[in-house]
Amino acid sequence: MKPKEERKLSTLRGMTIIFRPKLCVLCRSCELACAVSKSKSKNLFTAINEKPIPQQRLYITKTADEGIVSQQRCEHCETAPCVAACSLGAIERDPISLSILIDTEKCIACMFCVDACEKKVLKILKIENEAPVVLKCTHCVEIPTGPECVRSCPTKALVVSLASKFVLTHSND
Amino acid sequence: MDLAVQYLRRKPTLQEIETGWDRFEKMQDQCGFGELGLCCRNCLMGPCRINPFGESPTRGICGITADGIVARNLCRTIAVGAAAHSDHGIHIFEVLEKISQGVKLKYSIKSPQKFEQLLKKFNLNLDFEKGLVELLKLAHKAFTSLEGAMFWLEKTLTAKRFAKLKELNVIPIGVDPTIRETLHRTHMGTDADYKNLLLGAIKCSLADFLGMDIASNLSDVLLGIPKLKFSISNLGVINAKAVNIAVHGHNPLVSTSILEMTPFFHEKAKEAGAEDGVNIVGICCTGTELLLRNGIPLATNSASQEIAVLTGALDAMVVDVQCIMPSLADVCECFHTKLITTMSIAKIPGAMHVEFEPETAEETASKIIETAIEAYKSRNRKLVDIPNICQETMVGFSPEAIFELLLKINEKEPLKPFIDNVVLGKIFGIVLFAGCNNYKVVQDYNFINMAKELARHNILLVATGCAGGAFGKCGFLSPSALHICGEKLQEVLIELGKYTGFNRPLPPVWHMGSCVDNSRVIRILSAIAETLEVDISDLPVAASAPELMSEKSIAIGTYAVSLGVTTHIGVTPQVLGGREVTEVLTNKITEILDAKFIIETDPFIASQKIIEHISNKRKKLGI
Repeated sequence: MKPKEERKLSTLRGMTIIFRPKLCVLCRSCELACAVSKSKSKNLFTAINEKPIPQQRLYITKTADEGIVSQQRCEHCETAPCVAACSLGAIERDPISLSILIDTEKCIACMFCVDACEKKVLKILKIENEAPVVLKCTHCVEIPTGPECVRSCPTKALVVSLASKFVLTHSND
Repeated sequence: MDLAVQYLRRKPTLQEIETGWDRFEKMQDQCGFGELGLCCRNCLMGPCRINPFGESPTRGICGITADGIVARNLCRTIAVGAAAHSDHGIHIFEVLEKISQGVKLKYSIKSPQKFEQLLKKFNLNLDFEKGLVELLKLAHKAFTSLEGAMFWLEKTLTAKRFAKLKELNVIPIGVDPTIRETLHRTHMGTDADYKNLLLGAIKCSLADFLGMDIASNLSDVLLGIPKLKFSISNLGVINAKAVNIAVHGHNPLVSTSILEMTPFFHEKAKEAGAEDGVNIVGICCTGTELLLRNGIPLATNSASQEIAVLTGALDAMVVDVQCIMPSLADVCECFHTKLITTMSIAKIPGAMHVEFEPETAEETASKIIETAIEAYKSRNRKLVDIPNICQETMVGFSPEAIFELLLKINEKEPLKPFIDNVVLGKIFGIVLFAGCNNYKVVQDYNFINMAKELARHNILLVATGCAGGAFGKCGFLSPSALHICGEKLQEVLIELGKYTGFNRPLPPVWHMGSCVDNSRVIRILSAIAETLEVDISDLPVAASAPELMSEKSIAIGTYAVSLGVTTHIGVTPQVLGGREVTEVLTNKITEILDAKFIIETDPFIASQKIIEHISNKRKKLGI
């Protein structure tokens, strides 16, 4: 990710990613796109052979009994327990995008945030001979076109929204 | 890039009409699992998908690995390709069989020369009628039995290559049984070993070669051997003052009968107001068949098939089998153009169907031409806009035509002058361009740039199918495109041109036939290899399908590698999800076949890799 001062003010400032389960066909394109967006090469064909292998930060699941589709992804909570749990100040709300981001330079993967997360969506990636990394949705703030999971969704089950607008236009969904 | 196509595609009044490019854009992003080949739909427990990033699931429900799924899918793809080519062959075979049984048909054997050549090849010292029966029996045997296939391949391939394939136990058990066997091994819970599956894929691709070789040879017997001739290509061949009939698809039977009936309808067309009578133009490989045999102009190649209708001057588009986009019906709807399907296995909703039977070919053809003339009467002249772009095209480089040319130079050893030039480095190597168009690539971009790059390095180019169409449209099949070649190759082409009787140099790209005629290239390479007493894989040659799309082209690419020709693929194939499979196809396969796949989407890097490969082969030969 570029340093904060280099990034332009995102037009998607304060965005939320809305998941509309009725439209989801469980194709998992978002999961692949997420992993590719976190890879070095940003290309599916080469990303699958990278070391460490790029990891997705969102999961689509369906409950076995009732068939309810849900999406597990960091929700960038308004009052985020992970931010409070971090004693190093490595995980903070980004003043530009208003998303909660991890400063990988400061983070020592102490797991406090992972334990603190109420949604249990933060994961630790252990890498051989290297320091472990906390995996967390970044809202793709570094990508000008916005979140890759949203762009890749063929049925528009995932949409980007500025929360206030969403209430007005999608309240019937 | 094709200017004629670009012009019509971007014309403001035609923006509403949806073409393949629009649909391609709407289809983005395409499913990552599919692109990697990691999706299996072979049983109802599925669909299963493997996570390519190592997360679960790492295996299908039955336990199949990523490599297993990818190899199984590849086998199926090749089986479909082989089925398509051999069914094409069977259509020709049936007509010849009827002739041999004495059924009265409009078709007759146009090339006794080719017929005798085949009889000689298979040691059949018989008269015409008995010879035909025996030849067909042999072809039938090759379609259905191991010995037949073995015999046909032994007579076609070089001794070294045949021995190698026999040792690997991949000689097909006849075309049809091999397709059956291949489909069987991909059934749930049958073959799960990717190495064994890949050997199966090789076997099936050789069945494809066999079916294709029979199809191509029998077509030559029935319809004649292509001879060197001049024609024209690109959308400018559509004539505003004529009733235009486009023939599209792959099977030459329907289109040839239409062509033969046209002279009888010129008067009728003139009565309807078309000054220039009836004008036949070709699209895709049906177009190529007529282009090479009869010099019929080629309108366009596969990706721009809909664009031909956008000229507003096509009165009928007659289609047979393979590579016909169903969307043509919708595009034709926007104009007066009649879309006519002719084969019982290929119907399109919204199209008119006129069933083709060899016995009634004449009536069918007449009916089709009459329909076109009728449609012409309702042509809206305001909508007619034909880009005035067409290129001179020199075609007809069948092995026979090339040998005939070389015989004029050296009567005893026709290949000697050619081989001498290769040894001297005047011809640095030979590259075959084959395959289709693919919307993932700007149409013809890879073809044109790779051709320029390779010709500059004195590499002689041959082309088949839509590759030939691409080069025709941009003028590379014309002697006046000689400037793209290196100086040494220019000398050779000018020298060879003196013997053609046209008093022009030969073009930088030699168009050898439709996609079913790729076996012609193998025949020439085999002849060169036999003369030098080496294997095909020792020759400084390569193949490239830089814009491939169809399952047939994957089958062709696989047999090219199986026969020792290193093959470049310019569109990422759906196998990369299987890491081991990819490793085998692009590297380890060299150990058993002495050839491999090069996967490279950048045309310039791909050209470099091909040149490097050819240099290595030359070094090994000590030239």
